[in-house]
Amino acid sequence: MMLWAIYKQTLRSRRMSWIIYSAIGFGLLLMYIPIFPAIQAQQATYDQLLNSMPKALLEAFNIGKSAPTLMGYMVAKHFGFVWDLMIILLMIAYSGGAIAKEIDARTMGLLLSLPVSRLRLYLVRLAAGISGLAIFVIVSELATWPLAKAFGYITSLHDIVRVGLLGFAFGLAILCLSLMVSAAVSEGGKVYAVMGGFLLVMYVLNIVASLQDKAADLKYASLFYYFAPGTVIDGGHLDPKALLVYAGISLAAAIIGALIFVRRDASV
Amino acid sequence: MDFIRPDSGSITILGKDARADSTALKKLIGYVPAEPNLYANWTVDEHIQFVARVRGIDAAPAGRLKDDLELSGKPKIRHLSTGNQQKVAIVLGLMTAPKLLILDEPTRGLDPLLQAKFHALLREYHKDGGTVFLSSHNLAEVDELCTEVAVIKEGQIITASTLSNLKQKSLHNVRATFTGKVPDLVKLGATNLQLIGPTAHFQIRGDINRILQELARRPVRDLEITRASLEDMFMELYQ
Repeated sequence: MMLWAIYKQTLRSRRMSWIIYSAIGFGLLLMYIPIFPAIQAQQATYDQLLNSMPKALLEAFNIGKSAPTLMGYMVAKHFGFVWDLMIILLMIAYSGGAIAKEIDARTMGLLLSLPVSRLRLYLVRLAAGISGLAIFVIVSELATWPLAKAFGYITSLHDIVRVGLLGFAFGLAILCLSLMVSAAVSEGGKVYAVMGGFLLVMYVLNIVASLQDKAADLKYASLFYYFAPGTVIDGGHLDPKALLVYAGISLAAAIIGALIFVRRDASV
Repeated sequence: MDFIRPDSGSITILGKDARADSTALKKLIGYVPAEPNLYANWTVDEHIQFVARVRGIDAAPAGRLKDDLELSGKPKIRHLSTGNQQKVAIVLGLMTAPKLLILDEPTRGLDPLLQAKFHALLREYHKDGGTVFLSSHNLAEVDELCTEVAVIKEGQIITASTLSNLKQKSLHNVRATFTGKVPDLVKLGATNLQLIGPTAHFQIRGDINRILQELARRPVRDLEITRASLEDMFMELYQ
């Protein structure tokens, strides 16, 4: 009961950002899906454009060569770039507010004066973040399926689920990493700065690895390398390695974050 | 409250270790911080409902406290003055009927009338068997409410005693006006001596009979001896 009350309070206090991001995600689906037939009709131009671009560049920016299908088109237009950026922003904003900002605003003092262990409080914050991420993925990605049906397009539910699962795993890793940073600092702004810098480095590593053969192995160190929805659509399967990497990062970051939060001083 | 982890040592409250049994202890403790730690976008009643749900208690006692402190449940915290926010913190701390109430500068921001009401609430709580742990720089409040005091200087307790004991250790303020030459009062045990013309202001620690006998032998025109306030004792301890 007590944890449920905190869980509900956490979701409630962040509900505006969940609603706004999910609404924007859904709105983008509504914007892209109806114009799919027009894109299909210009397939030859699209193919020509893709063929003129270096393969490495296409990989670096998550652009697959499967535009003829709805999901191929959606990955090229949305799920391969804007959607994951939305996931990143949503997760970092949530995490910054979940711990560090509460310490800064002193509201953490109210929570810590209640009979709830810090570990449980951390886990509740994590669970609320996971719930928010799941809602976002359902509304902004899995909703492609009913929308496609509504517009009379034939598309693979498996593809939609695989991309959704990949996005969820990616978001979970970002959530756990940013919550870990949030547990260590006392200002929301520091979480955004640290995670922003970290993800920028990750992104640059992936781009450099894609463009320079000598630095090809650097891609394995980048979170973005494993987020390849274009490959999921082209290959017709989700690489379990990507899920394992994201799951491993999430687990490690969650454990470290919980340890930091349990042991730290919280001057409130 | 286990907010800050200790470098060493331990704290035992109600027979439990403040770190190891922190969660169990917080069920028995009510806490009122110096600065209210409330959610700006929540209403007063939302705070009360939240704390009641997390603690698994009935929120009804908060209603009486709100009435006593003339606090409405409807406004959002961001629309309340500092004093009213402090009232909310007081309600949240007391509504749980805790065994121990920890107060950190609880009346900061309250006007004198509300301070008096709050003091009355504390006396009632104490009469019902509750213990109050009050941290305050408002020594008049400490003098009025507390039975035992500890003075902390640079993180160390420099004295701990019942308030009556501390007062009986007797620090007296003396003002004596002489008609002739002012005697060497330091030799007689005076401290914090200030001479303004023929008038000497000083403090005497311990038995005052000796100074009375000495002064009786000298030409004194006027004499006033008062028991030092807690503030005077605090200042002496700090010097």
